[in-house]
Amino acid sequence: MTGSASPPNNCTSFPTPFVPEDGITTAGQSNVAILGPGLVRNFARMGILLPKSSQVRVERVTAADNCFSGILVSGTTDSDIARNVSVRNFGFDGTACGGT
Amino acid sequence: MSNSFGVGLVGTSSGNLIEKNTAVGNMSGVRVFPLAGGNTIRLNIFAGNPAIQVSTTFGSTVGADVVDLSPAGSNSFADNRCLTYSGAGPSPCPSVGKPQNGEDTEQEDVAAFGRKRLAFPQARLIDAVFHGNLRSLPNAAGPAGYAHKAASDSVTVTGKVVDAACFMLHPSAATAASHKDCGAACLARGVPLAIATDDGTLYFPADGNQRLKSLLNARVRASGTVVEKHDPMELKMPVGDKNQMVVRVEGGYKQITIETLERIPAEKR
Repeated sequence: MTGSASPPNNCTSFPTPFVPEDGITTAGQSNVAILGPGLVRNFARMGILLPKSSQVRVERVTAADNCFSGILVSGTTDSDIARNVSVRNFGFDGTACGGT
Repeated sequence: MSNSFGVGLVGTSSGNLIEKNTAVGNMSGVRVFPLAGGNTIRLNIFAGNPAIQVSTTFGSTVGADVVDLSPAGSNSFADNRCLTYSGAGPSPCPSVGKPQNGEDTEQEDVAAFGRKRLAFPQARLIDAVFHGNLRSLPNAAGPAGYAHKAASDSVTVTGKVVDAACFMLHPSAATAASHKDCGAACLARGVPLAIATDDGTLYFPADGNQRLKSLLNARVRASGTVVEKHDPMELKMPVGDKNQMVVRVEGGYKQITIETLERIPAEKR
């Protein structure tokens, strides 16, 4: 799955406007599995965002060329993040020159 | 500066397992924020974070393979491969070498078990697998109707009360003080206990965990009759909420009907 960004272009700027274009988000849900193989790329914010969730499993997913983080675990508990590849995830605010 | 990293633990994230991931060319490979605690980060590969041009343009402090902003010791880092680190320490980086993976570890476990052999030279680990569902409760008992030798006369055995399934895979770890909490968690979920003597022999109590459960990790002296069971036995160990590990033992094991049981105080050891 491919987002609209091409880091460093079209990335969400910070702090405003903060367009929440994430590839996958669990949005506070629990008992969620995100199982690859699969590629999550070119999103303006996170590749995969796990906010305030629990018992989430993310496995064998590749997150690449997203503007913020490949996989961000935020206030989430008891989850497994295993066998993923996260590469060249950054790009906004002029920090993209090396990784993309 | 951006919070752009391969894997991030933000806010009060806790109890998470970050395992066997690869993070390359991000601002940071893994970034653990100050309030994140009780997370385990192991067997990952973090390299090239940030990429060299980023370091050149923005300075070497913009990121690292491992950035740990939490208080020292509040999260567990083990067996990761990484080069650069930023945090309160102790630094887990640089750490380079052969990348570890689960398959290697399992093979090492099997090899270690093969060297140990328990009480019976023919005893061997024939299976250690993860199943998708945890449908049955762990059970120390072997199948009904198994054959066994006649009970011996009363004997006295001295050893340490251990989590039997763990002991068969990692004898040294199972008897370490640091394993006590883990063993207690396994005990709470029904993993069988046994008395491990100094020569590695396991004696399984005939009446289950009832008499030993308050003595986990304690050194004890038990007297009773011992029989040798010869049918296969399965020890089922919960792994997470959905999986279980089955350690199957062939070749026999010893079962003791405990008549007297006493804890050996530290000064008598």
